[in-house]
Amino acid sequence: MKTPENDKWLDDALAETIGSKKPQTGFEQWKQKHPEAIQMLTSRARSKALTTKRPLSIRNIIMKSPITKLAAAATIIIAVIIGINQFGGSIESVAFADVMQNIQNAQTLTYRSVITPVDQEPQVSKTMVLEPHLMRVELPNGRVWILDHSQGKALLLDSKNKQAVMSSTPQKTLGLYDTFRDFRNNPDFSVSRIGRSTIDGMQAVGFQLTRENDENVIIVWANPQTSLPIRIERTVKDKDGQVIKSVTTNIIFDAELDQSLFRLIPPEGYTHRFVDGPHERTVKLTKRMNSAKNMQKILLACMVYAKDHEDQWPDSLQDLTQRRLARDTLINPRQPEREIGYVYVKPRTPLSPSQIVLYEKYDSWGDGINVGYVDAHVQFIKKESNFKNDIQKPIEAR
Amino acid sequence: MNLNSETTLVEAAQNGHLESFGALYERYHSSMVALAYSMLADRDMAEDAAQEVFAIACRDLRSLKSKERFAAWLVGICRNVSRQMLRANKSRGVAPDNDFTVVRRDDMEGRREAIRKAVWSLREPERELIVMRYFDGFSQGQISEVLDISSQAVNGRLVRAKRKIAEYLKRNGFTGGDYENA
Repeated sequence: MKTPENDKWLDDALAETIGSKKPQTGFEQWKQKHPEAIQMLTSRARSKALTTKRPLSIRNIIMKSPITKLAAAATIIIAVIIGINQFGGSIESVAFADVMQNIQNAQTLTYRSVITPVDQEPQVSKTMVLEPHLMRVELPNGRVWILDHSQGKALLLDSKNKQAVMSSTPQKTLGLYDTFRDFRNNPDFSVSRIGRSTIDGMQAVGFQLTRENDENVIIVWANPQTSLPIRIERTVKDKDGQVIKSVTTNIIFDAELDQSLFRLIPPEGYTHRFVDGPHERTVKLTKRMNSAKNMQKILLACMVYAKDHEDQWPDSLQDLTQRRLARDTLINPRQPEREIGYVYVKPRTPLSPSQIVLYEKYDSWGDGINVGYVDAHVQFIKKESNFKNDIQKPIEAR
Repeated sequence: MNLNSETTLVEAAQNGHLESFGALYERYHSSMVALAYSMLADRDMAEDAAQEVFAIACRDLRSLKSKERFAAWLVGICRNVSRQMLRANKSRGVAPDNDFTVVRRDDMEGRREAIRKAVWSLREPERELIVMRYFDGFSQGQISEVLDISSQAVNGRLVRAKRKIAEYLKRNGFTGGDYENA
């Protein structure tokens, strides 16, 4: 054997075996498939991103909307106050600490937030929290976001368009309640009094909360009679250094909240759909890959069968299982409930590499199916019309 | 690679300039598919992985502090996405399955299968280089830039990897002569 580093045969063999033969997805195609990602990238270039009417997108709302982020932040701020008082040290007002003792036991929390992102109109939202896992944010334009942390699910309702979108909770918001609890357990804020002021016609005592190595400032105004927070102002810088302000008012603990407000069921008359989260996407892709591997095994078994039977391919898949192919291979991981998950089409002669001989059984098309060819390669076909064209194509046209 | 031009593109993309991101996509898409393919051993999955890589990159681009490290950052995302796919598939290996005899010396597909097995039996760093080199004909210089390793290291690893592949093929009864006569 010649040495590989100075001979061409191995280069040729590797290029032929590994070389990419099929066209790859171009940027234009990619853009069409990832509108949310594009929107995220270009949102900075658009000054009125949130006020522009656009298609309902759970990702946009949950992961990118400053409203939901800061609505969540407001919850955290309130948690900070609770946390500080739980450890009872820094705030000088004894009455405040006493009341906080009651707040720690609160089962519900509601508040109104006005958030002013950079270069955008102020956004108003109303948030309700039902401990320990449920949250509801009522957004502008009739949208409502319901989050169930215990199930890891989110439901976005668009009352104007009567649409509902269910999704798994994205990682970025999964941490909401964890953060809430972390603050309770590890308050590292220091608190200083900033005097008195009149807030909405009421006398209020102000506290400034700061944290080491953190430029963000939180100011809490509390009612001196009840020591309950009545207004929370927060000024934060996002990672680009842009200042975002939020003001939280109408803070009510232990208001009566109907459990039905947090139901993850679309109201009657709504169209609804599911959007895969990252985990679901990975699971789907993995099953698809496993199915394709099964199909490759079946196709290779067919080729071996043909070799042993004077180039005649098997009449059915059962012919293969009677010989050496494990029966499990015929189960499609994407549809494990079927005993045989694939349709075998005995190839006509003369064989053409583009003849379809195997494909995944399906009742409805979905996002596509794996299709196997005479030359043992398996391809995922996304459009049903393409598949039907290929399988109906007369042999001479292939 | 024109580093200044690339950092300009990255900066522009971070500021929401879609065409700049498109230029970066066109520049690196093929190498991401190749890199994912080296880990997943499945072209369609590799294409899907690459799409996800650019979706993540698009979403998180603003968090990239060192603009000149864009390629390395993208490679990191690609490896993570591919590993995530593999982790979800713990019960099965990535290498082409060995439980079915596919190597048939008098058959072209058997030869290809043997080469695939040889490639996917390499260690990951060597496999990455081999796949990138032959998937879309990347030059050693291009591989060096994308993977952020020296050209000399790329060359050395490629030679070692090819030697291992040749040895594997030899053990399984293939020679250069066989291939040329096929």
